[in-house]
Amino acid sequence: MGEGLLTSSNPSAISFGPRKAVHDSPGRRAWLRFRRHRMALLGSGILGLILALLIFAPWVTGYDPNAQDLGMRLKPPSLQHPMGTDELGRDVFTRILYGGRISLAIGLAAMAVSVTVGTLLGAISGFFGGWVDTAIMRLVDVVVAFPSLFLLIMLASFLGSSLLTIVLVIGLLAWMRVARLVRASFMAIKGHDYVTAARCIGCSPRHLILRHFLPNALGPVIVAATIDVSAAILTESALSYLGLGVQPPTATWGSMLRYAQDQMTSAPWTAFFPGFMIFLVSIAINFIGDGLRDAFDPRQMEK
Amino acid sequence: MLPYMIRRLALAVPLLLAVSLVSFVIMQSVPGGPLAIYRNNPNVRAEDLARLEEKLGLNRPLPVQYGIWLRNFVTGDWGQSLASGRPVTEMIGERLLNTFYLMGTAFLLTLLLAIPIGVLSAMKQYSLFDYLATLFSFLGFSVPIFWLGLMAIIVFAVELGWFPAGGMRTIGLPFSLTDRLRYLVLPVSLMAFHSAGQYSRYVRSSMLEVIQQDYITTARAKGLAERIVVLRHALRNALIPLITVVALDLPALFSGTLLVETVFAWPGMGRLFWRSALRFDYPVLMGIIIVTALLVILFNLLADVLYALVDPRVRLVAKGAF
Repeated sequence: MGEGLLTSSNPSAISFGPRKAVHDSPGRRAWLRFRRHRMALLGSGILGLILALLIFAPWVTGYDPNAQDLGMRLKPPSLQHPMGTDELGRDVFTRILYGGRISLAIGLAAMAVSVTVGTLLGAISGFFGGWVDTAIMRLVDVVVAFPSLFLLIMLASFLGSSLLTIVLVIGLLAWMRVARLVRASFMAIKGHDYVTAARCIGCSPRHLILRHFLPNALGPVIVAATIDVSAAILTESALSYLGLGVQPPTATWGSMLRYAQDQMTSAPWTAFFPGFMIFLVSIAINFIGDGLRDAFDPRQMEK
Repeated sequence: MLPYMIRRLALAVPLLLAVSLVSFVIMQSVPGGPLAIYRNNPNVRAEDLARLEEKLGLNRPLPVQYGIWLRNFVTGDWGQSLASGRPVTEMIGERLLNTFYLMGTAFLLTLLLAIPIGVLSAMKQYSLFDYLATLFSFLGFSVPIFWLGLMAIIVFAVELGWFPAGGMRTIGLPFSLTDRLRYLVLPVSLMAFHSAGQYSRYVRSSMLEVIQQDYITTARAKGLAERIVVLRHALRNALIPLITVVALDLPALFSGTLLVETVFAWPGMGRLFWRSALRFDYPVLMGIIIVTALLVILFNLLADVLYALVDPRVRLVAKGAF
């Protein structure tokens, strides 16, 4: 971005003391603020640890997530099976790791869909204004006003629940917040002199949007995107719990909960761990989102 | 006020039409039509299927079908459930009240928790209590409510036996308030835990804003007790924005209720919707979708009217879709 240019032309950046390669930039200041947010750091730590476990799952556990061992059904947590075994004798810990890959991948992919659609529609709305803006914003109002779980259930049951449909359906019902944020930030800088100047020297709309408008919206969109990931993971787990998510034998945390339900009184560990993982990931991401919000908030100046 | 309400309700009509059309298209767009699952069932004979199609009008062109559905719907004939054969209106009517009963109680408990927590947090900003209240709100909205429900059933219903694991009342027992309450405790506390934290955050920030106003300084300067300043002067105005928050939160509230009803086998609309979705019982689904949309619109209107009643600065002008 243009930050390097700005700092080098700034006379205060030239110092006569010992040269240290620390230059001030909005990104750096945001990072400094984020670093001070203790819960956000804790969240990053938890999430980092879980991600590492999921990525290196084959080295972390020796079991196959779908290997059944009917002689070892519903065994409580032990040294061999730290989270016990399920109704088919599968290792719950292993299934948590492999299922977590799917749950997180769905969360990230659905976020990518919602952020792409939201940014696109919000940008069109904010940049062009007029009836296009009105039409898009009315659409936002309508989608926002409807309880999304009802639509999700209907869509998942009628369109089937492949990974792709789940991701699309979750993403396409969650783009509204990003659209509103992008539109608002576009509206806010529309009248600024530098935008008018850029227009006057003949910048194309493409250039204007990509170089001047979108960077301005980046902060709030990153925050919303973070929270969207945790919302999408919760939504996917709810759908899978209701039996309308990814189908067996593929495990996700939600579907593990669904099947654990039948024997949860005799084998509570089969129900406890998958839900606890959803909770852990979701709260870690929400803490990170909170830290990012403080970090990107320009009103939150260093005290 | 009245013309405003009428205009808003009139604007709801195209919206409901859009919702019904979209749902209709989704349900008809399944490969094989809405009866697709019956086709794979060896117990259903081809001629039965054809008769059912004929009866439901499924062999006609789509726009005609939608027209027929709409005409019947407006005249109060919402069709019969494919699974039970009972009229959809009757089924929804039975469960709507149960859902309101659950949601309403949960909502009351939410406010009873959220308002004191929010006020205390604002009065003691950055205190340990404020910090814990923030943590509480993060826990509340990060936890998967259905999982917490299952855990609550394991601990409080199965292990301790304090509360029933599911249902709305003991079957066969004459009406008794304590019996009803026992069934309410678990689902209602979960729902309150889920939203109270968030609402208390709004109360907190709104209190912090109000407390800086000049009239609060005036009240303090008059020598009024701090308790009276906070409860009489500040809180009243600080609660007004909560109306909007609740109205905006309503769709999420319906979604949350569906999950809680499913976990606790509560005979409400959400659970009926879920079971009907698993059985592709599309007349029931259509009915519930429209009822839910209508409820959200009505509650939003109610919120706007309430807002205008409590805040004389607000004038209602009909604009926009809602």
